[in-house]
Amino acid sequence: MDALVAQLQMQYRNYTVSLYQQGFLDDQFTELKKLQDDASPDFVAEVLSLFFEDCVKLIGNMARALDQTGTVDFSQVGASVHQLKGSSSSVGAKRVKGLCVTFKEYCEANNYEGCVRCLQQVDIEYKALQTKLQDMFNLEKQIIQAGGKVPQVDIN
Amino acid sequence: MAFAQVFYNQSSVLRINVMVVDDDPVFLQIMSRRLENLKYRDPSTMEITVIAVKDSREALSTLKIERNNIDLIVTDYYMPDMNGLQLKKQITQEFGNLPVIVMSSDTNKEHESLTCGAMGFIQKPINATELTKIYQLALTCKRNGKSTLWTENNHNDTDVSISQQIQLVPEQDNLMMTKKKKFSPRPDARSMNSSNGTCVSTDASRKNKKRKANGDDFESLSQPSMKSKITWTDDLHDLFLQAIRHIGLDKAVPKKILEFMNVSYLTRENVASHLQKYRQFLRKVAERSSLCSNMLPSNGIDSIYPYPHTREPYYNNYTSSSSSWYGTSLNNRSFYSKPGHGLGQSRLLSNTSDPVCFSQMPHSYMNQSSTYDTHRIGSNLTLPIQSNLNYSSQNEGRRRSFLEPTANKTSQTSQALGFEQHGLSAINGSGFNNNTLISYGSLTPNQLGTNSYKGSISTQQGMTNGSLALNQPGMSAYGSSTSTQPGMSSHISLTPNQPGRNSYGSLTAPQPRMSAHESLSPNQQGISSYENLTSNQLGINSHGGLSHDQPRMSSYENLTSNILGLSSHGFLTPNQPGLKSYGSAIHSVGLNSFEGLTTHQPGSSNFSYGLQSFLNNENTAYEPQPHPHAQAAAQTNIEIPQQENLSLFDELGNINELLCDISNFELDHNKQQEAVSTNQFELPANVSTEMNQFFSLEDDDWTFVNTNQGHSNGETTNNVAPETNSQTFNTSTNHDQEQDAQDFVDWSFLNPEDLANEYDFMDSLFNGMN
Repeated sequence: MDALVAQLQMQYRNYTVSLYQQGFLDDQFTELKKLQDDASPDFVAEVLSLFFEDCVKLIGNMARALDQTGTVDFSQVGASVHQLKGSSSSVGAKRVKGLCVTFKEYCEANNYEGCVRCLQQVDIEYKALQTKLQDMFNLEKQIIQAGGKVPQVDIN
Repeated sequence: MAFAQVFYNQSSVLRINVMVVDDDPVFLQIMSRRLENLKYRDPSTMEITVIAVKDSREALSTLKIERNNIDLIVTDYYMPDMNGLQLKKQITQEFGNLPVIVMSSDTNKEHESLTCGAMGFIQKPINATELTKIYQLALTCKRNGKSTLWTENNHNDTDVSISQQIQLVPEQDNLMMTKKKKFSPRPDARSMNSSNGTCVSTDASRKNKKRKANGDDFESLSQPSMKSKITWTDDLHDLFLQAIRHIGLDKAVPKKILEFMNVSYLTRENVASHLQKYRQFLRKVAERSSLCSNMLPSNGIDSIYPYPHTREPYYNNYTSSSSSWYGTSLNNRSFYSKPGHGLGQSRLLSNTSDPVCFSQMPHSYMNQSSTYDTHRIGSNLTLPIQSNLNYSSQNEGRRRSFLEPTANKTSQTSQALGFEQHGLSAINGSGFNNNTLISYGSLTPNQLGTNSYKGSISTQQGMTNGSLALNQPGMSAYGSSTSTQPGMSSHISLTPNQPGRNSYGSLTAPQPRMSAHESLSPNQQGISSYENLTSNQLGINSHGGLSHDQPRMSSYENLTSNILGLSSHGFLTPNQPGLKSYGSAIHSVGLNSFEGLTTHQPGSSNFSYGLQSFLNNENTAYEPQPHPHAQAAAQTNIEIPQQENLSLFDELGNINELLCDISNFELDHNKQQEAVSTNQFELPANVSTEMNQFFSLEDDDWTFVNTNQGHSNGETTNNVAPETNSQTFNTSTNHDQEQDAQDFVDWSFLNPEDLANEYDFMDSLFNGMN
């Protein structure tokens, strides 16, 4: 089974590195991983679940704010965007965070179309990230089930 | 102290409680974890508990419940409802100067945050180095907080409606020794050794116990091993003095004293050795007193801590006439402690016949007063000296205290005796090292006896001390305490008794918070009381004291605060013939105001001055000469982070009111009215002017006192020629002249340069003493 473990570990390593390289994750994520230890083995998973729930909620808020018939309250949209920006930067969701920056600019410019577009993009991005991370977690589980340890991936 | 060490070893777990406020639950979770993990970095065991709240309202309600258990607050800036700064202001308003760090991804908020008094600003996302900074800050706050907590505990006992920072004389029972030192090994190794770490806090109420952040540690601390060396903190000494007073010095035996004090960890041997030391001290005082009385047949005494004049040289100043005494007391105004201290304050207590007093301290007070009773009873002069604790390396100026070996640095006290009838007082000051310091001196005894005083010094950072003594013939004594390092506390004590009396207390607090203290005691004839406190950094304290009583009295108080916080103080005492009072205050950035005043008929002097330093960690403030410069220099450097805090009253709220009960005092409107100087207390702008005021006390005035029995020309009790001072004084155009003349003492007559001389004089005096 060592071969399997080794193989899984390599797969895991490559996958993780690719996530960083594609800009899905940044060093904040690395920091987050460091907070996980034997005492709290699911820390990262918990935080990420929380993040994704937050995403759903905030995007819902933004959608509602933008969906107003009549005058759109951009400050309200902006507030939600700001929150999302904060959360995403805490977990290291790089792409989501980048989008939020752009989104915020549109809000400040009261650019309705821009905001709507950004909203759609944010929706896509966070779902994509969620899928990727899910795959990563699955790999981790497999490694553990195969009797191995999840390797520390060093991103440089 | 070995004693402290014992405790330290018993429970070396320091618990730090941090409250994190952020609307982002993800961030909260991550931050909590990161902070909690910090404990692993510190080899010494430490527990970090993070309380995470998602909005400001919850933060405030949590604080209400866990007020004393929270050492640091870290808050996000942008939050719906109340933003981080608004929260910070609200916290300060409701709970005092708790340390708050503001975070934001927006760097533009940094300046604003710091200006509003946040302890720091950190940019999100938070990287590892910043996290370490938070950790260090938390550690510092924790240490500081302890003493503050301690002092705040006592606050509950006070009747005075002073800001929560004020601390009263600790109650006798339930003295607790709290010492917990948790140091990060390297950087604080020094501090660990030097700080007494012992804060005796009076457990006046259950609440205090519960509020102790380190609850469990506290328990373990209460039973020191018999063999451990005991530290006679001011509070303990104060208790000791009370015991003696109660039992009677001649009948005082260790066993009875021990019973009276009722302190669990004290042994008979501790008390016995302390009693022996105290007796020796009294002997010394008596000797000096007789020496003094030879020289000064009819003078009152005054002793001011900073002034060595209480010692021999001082006697030279005395003349047989009471006026001379008066003069000398004025000399006492050299309350400045030697350079190196933060604030100098001196307080003179004197007994004067009239219990006039009034205090109004809208702003900080500076007091220093010396009063003496020209006619009769001795007066007590005590000068509390304070230095502020802040950061600067000021090393306190001198602090002299008679007694107690507890002080590290020590101070000596000098006493000046002499005066016609009574004995004189001694003052003492304590020195302390490092950072702050304060000192204090005091009291007067009357008739023959004299008093003794005790001072203690604390290490490093804070320190204060006070002393007083009293007893029948002569008397008064007092103790003070100082604290070390970060937090600091001070103390007061006093005792009145028949003829003379005085009391006083002071305290100082270091860094973040600060405590205040006060004491007073009136009694029949002379009396005086005083208190002062200092605080540094963030918090501030205030203090007040007053006393009044029939014949004479004086009171005084002063306080200083530094940096952010500020304190104010005031006090007053009026009385007939001699009277004096005064307080001074010093502070740095923060502002403080202070005032003192006294009025009285014939002779009286008051003066006050304040020292300030801290501003830039300079000790220069203490040099009388460089004062003005120092001020200038200091001022430029000083940043006044929180504008809001500058005004004395804003922060404390209560300060606006007189600390003491004025109803008992009658203002003596004649003469002294003009003497009141209109110091302005607005800090920020006025800092310099105030400093000038403080420093501008003229020497002349003091001499004046000698000659002039009671004319007060207005500016200082009777100033001969305040020209020198007036210049300085006048330079501060900002001065707020609105104050009631009667309420303030015009310190313009004090001349810093002159003070400097006296200062040395005093210094030598003290040095000789010890």
